Amino acid sequence: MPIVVENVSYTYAPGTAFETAALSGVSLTVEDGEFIGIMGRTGCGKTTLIQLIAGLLRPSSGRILLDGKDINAKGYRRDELREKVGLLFQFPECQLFETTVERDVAFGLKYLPLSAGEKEERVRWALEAAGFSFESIRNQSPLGLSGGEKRRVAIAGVLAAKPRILILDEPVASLDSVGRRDFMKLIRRLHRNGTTIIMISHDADILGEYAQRILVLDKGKLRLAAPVKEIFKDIARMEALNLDVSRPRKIAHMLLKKGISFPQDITGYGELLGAIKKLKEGCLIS
Amino acid sequence: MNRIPIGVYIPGNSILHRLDARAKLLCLIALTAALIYANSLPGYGIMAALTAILVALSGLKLKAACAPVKQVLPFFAVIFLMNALFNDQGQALWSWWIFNLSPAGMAAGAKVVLKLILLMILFNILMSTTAPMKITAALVSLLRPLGYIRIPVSDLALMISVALQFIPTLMEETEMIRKAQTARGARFESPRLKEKAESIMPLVIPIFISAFKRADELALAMEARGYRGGGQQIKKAAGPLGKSDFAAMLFAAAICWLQIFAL
Repeated sequence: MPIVVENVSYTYAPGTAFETAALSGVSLTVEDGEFIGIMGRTGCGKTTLIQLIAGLLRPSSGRILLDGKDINAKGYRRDELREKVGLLFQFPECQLFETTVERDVAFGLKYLPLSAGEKEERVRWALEAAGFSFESIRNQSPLGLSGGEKRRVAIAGVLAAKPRILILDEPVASLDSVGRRDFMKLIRRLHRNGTTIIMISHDADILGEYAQRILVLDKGKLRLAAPVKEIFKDIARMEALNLDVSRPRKIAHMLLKKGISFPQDITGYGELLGAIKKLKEGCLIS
Repeated sequence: MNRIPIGVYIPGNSILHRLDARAKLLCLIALTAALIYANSLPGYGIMAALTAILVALSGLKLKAACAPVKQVLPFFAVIFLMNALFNDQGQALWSWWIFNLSPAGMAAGAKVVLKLILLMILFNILMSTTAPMKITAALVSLLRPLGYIRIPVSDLALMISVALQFIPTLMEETEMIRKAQTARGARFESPRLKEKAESIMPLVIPIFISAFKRADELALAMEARGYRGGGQQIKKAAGPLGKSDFAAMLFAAAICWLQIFAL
C-alpha cells in the first residue's frame, strides 16, 4: 500500500515572530517499490516534507496515510510507523554515540521483537550491505572512524531495522566519487529488492540515473510531479525554477542543437552511451 | 516538536527594544534585587504588575514571554513541594514520617516559585528585546572598571557572547539529533520511564561531541582571523544614554528602594 499525502500544510512556530509556512497544500502519492527523487532549492520545504512523512512532525493541516491509516490519528501505533519507515538525515554521522560499531547499529533493533541471534544477524547483514567486513569493524569505536566510514555505519544503523520505505536526505552530499558510487549501488540493490526509496538530492545526475519519478518543490509548494524523463525533458522549465537537469540530458540537447537527430528522453549515462552507439552504427542517421 | 525558541532575540521596535542595553542591564539588576527583597502582598503585587506591563511594552506575545517558564514547570513543582513539605514552622495540616505539610510552608513555596517565575520572565524579556552583541557590548562597558584590577573583561565578554549565540544553534541541533534517533527507534515519546531514560544517552553524547567540535572549529576560525585574546577591546556601546534610558533606570531604582525600605 502506498503513502498518500493529502493537502498537507506545515507552519513552523505558529503564533510567534518566527512563524513561517514551510509547506502549503501538498498532495502526492508514493506507490510501493517506487524510487522518488525530490528536488528544490534550499529552504523550499523538502526536509519538512520527509519529516512529515516519517512522522517526526505533525502537519498543521491535512492528512498523511500509510497503508491506508492516518499516521497522526489518535490510536495509531507510532512503533509501526518507525518499523516501516527508515529515515537517514543529512550528515547522519552526528547520530553515532555507542562504544562499538556493532552496538550502535543494533540500537534501532532494541525494541523490536527479535532474538539475540536474529539481531546479530541483522547487524551483520546491515554492516556488510554498507560495505564493511563485519568481523573487523564490529568492535571498533564509531567515533574513531573516518567521515565516510561514519556515514556508512549510520546508514547500516537505519538499514538494520529493514524498513520497507527508506527516506534519504542528501545522502551523497560531501561523499567522494567512490563513496557516491558505492552508496548508490547499495540503494539500487535495496530498491531492486522492493524497498521504496524517497531521496532528496541536488545532484541531477544521480537522480537522472536512478530515480523513476521526480517531485519538484518550490517555496513550500509542489510544482512538478512526473516521471524523470518528463521532468528533465523541459530544460527551460527547470531553469525557470533554478534547477539543473542531468548532464546526459544536457549533452543530448546540445547534440540536437548541433543538428544531430538524437533522442531527447535521455536522463542517465547508460542511455546516453546506448544512443551514441546506435548513432555510430548509423541506425539513427536519416 | 514545534517549540517556541526561548532566549532568542526577536527583532522589533518597541520601547524596550529601543532602550540602551546598558540601561536595560542595570534595570534588570535593580528589579532582580527588588524581587528578592519583596516580602509582602503589595510587594508581590507590584512586581507581578510591573512584569505584566513590561511584557505588554515589549510587544512579545504572552505565550512567547512565558515560554521558558513552561519548560521548567516540573522544577518549580519540586521547589514548591520541598518548601511545603519540609517547613516545620506553624501548624501542620498533615504529617507523615519526615513530611510536614503546613500553610506556612505552602505560602513560602508559593512565594519562592512566584519570584522565580517573574525573574525568568524578566530575563526572557531582556534577551528577546536585545541583540546578543549589544548585551556583550553593554557588559564590557559596565565591567570596564574591573580591567584596572587585571580582570580580562573583553575576553570574558567574548566568552559570554559566544555562549549566548550558541544557545539557539545547540537547541536546533538537539532537535535534529532527537529526530534522527527517533527515526531509528529511540523512544522519547514512550510513556514508560525506563524507555525514556534509555533515550537520553543517544541524545546527550552526540550533542557533547558536536559542541566540542564546534568549539574547536570556532577557536581555529578566530585564530585564523587574528584573534589573540587579551586586551582587545570590543566596540563601545553606541553613544551616550538618552532621556528614556535615565527615566527607566530611575524608575527601576525607585522600585528597588520601595521594596527594600518601604514595604
